[in-house]
Amino acid sequence: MKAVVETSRVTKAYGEGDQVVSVLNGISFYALRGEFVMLVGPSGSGKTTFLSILGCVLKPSSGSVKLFDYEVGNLPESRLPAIRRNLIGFIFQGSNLIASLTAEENIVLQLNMRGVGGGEARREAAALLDRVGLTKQKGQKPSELSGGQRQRVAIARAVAGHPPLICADEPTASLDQDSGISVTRLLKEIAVERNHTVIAVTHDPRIFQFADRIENLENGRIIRSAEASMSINIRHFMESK
Amino acid sequence: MAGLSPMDGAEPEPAWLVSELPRGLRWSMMLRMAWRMALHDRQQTIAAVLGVAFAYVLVGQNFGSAGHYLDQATAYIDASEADLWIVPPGEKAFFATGSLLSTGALHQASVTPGVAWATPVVRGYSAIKTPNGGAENVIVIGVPAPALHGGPFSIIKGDSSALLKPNAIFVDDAEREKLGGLNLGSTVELGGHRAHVEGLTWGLLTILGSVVFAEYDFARSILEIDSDRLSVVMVRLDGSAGLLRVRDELRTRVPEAAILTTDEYWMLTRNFILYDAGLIGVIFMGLTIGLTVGLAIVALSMLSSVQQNLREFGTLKAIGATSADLRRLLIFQALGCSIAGSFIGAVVLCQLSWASRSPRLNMIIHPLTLWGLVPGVTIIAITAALVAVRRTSRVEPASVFR
Repeated sequence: MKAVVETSRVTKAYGEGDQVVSVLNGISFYALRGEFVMLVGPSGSGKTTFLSILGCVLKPSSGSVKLFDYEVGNLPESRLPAIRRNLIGFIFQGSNLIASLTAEENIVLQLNMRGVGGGEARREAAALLDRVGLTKQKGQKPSELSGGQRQRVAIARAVAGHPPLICADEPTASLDQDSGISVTRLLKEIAVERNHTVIAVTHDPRIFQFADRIENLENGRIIRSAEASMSINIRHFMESK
Repeated sequence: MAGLSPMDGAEPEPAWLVSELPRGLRWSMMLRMAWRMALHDRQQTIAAVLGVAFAYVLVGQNFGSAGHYLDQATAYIDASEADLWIVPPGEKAFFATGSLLSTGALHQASVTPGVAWATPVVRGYSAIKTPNGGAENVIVIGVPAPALHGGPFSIIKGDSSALLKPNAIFVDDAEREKLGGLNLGSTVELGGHRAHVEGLTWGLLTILGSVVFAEYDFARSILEIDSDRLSVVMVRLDGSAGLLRVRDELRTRVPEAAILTTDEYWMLTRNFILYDAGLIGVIFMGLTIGLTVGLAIVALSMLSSVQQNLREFGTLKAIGATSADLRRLLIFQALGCSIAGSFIGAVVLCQLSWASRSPRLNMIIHPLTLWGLVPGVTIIAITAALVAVRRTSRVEPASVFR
């Protein structure tokens, strides 16, 4: 099976001369179609920076980033929006829904970005809201929704238009335990149904159970990988760090 | 996407990298976003709209007042029926009184073919004594009876024939209070002569003073002009000869004077007020202040809105919007503010114009001014939007992950 995304010896450094700070120190990684991969590790380990590079919102300092076997790591900034629009859905820590738009409009906006317009966009948005259990909330603005509901809308927005890759940054960080698990379960279900590859950065061990694979980052490197399907005690795995 | 082929060497780029959004969809999406964000950030939007309206009113008021002063300056020329004017050489404006002509100019004009009538006018500054012991400057215009071709015009009280009475004068209604509460039958001291108010005119004022009409000889005595001298000659054509032909003939016959068509005299007078009297400087200053303050308000409002929504702009970029999309969004907002601000500004300006209408202080708001200000304030709004665009162009999509 081919990788949706694959990196080789990716580095990222900020600053110049003596002030250079290395955040990523040569990460090689891949994610297959339909796979749910979690990036875990302590704060400052480079998880979010790496996710930003996978999501094509940040360029690596060196190394290779391939999407569907096509090298995108060296593309100019001006070409990255097309990749994000067509291939990648995002779920942010704080949902980051557009405050002035309703739940439905937030999804329609993403569909518009992906070239789906008019009635088709509204129909697909309605179907997605139905799928995440928020049909009645379609006309509500983010400020009128609970944290869990906002993240459900964010999931619907991310998968709208069937992007093959979903990048999620701490999707449960602002949610209580029940909501966090329920939102991640929903994301997992939708990803399986629609064959999305999900790469999620998280600190939350409660949701490790939903991962197909967990990559542990420390000091800008992947230091350990675990296959969730091999019945590894994930919590123990993390605690052993 | 699964069917996308890998690229090796010079293989074509994958469809997901080169596909463009349909332009209509891209523009309608940003238009909708602009509208919704503007409604959401009400305070900033209202401030931006009011900034545009403020600039519109300030600049419009400036133009309106300038128009009023220009109209005042040429009010006498506009009211007259003259086709040609014989004026002293170097004449700059009707109210910029200067040297005098000899009465020979009048005689020559009277016998020139194509002339229906020619009438002399004397004009000059004098002062009316007020009851409180002060004096108010006025421009005395003397016109010969009984034809009274040179005025009085715009009479609102009295009859022009009353000017034939001994020592009769017509004063402007707007200046009655200023001149000591004058009314029909009042007696005043004008240039050391007793004068009786026999009529009131409306709107014949200048920056330098109001117009007082007097019979020709009475005016000469007030202004101390000799009987063989006069200020200007007004000439009316009978239609048998062309305007320029008669003008050229008069130039031959009266070489010591300048012969101007009414249009030329009108323009000369306006140019004098604009350039020699410095009205253009006042207009420019008002324009600069209006536009600068408007620009500052709109730019600050839009910047504040952008600053408040930086995370949303970052999100938009992360989910696929380009910097050009955000530029369109902000320019749409600027255009919206411009339209709304112009509408409010036009309503306020018309109300101001109506409320302030008087011969002394007025605003001439031409429909062309109302429309002409729209592109002006639109440029302000778009310039302000471009300031905000600079801010959004620095927003990195990765910022939403922090």
